[in-house]
Amino acid sequence: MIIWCPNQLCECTKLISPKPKTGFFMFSSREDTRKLRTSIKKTFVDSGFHLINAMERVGSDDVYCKICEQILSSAFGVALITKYTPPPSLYNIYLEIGLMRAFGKEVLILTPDRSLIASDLEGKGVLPYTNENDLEHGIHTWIDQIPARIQDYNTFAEIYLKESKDYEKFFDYSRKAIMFGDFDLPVRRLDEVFNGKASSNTRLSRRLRSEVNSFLEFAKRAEKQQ
Amino acid sequence: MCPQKSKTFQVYNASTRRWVKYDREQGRIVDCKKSEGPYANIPKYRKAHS
Repeated sequence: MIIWCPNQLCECTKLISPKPKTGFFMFSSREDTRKLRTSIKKTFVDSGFHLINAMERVGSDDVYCKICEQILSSAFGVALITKYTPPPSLYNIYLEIGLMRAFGKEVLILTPDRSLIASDLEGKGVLPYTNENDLEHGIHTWIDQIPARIQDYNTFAEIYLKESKDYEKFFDYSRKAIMFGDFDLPVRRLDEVFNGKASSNTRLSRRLRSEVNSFLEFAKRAEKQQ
Repeated sequence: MCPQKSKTFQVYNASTRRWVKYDREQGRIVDCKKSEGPYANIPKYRKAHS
């Protein structure tokens, strides 16, 4: 898959290290939501997920590129938008939501007021809350649906592998399942198809082979760290 | 004699809660149902994995 750099409008040449079970957290640091953010992060951590944010590891050079890298390495996104989110930050959050969605990553938008959210999103992925308990319950409900999503990704991976021998799409769906924390079936299957006995007879591009193998390397390392 | 495989089949997508139609000749998903419930007269995909 070609990732078109949203900054340079050319092919992205960076080697992205995938971070399975990790979400990219979008919020305004100019807003006093520290307590709420800590509670959101804790809710994810309690379910085995981890949230990273733009403040982490972003230095002075090309911030946009680094944010994009974090987005590409995450499995999903979480955005916090309140009526106190100041406009400059709000624009950045929407830019990041747009990037995530364009890269096919799900974004959970947390807000106390649904009407604050851009209408073009049509309420998709929006989780309104009235208090912290409510918010925690909503996040848990979203996390509880992840196994069903993983099952879907594995089914579609199987279809593309067996029905059309579309290795690119097989890899894409398997990668999605792994990113959401399934290190069993998709890893085994990718290994078998790209490195197994029959793989030498399979016509695969060198680019795809190396992309899959570097992804598997990162994924296996991430699994050990879990 | 083996029964001939149909040109299309359908699969349920739990994330979107909709059925999608796969075309074996084109080797891709060709349609996503707008309303709930499966397509009529299109066989359902049987998963090989558990």
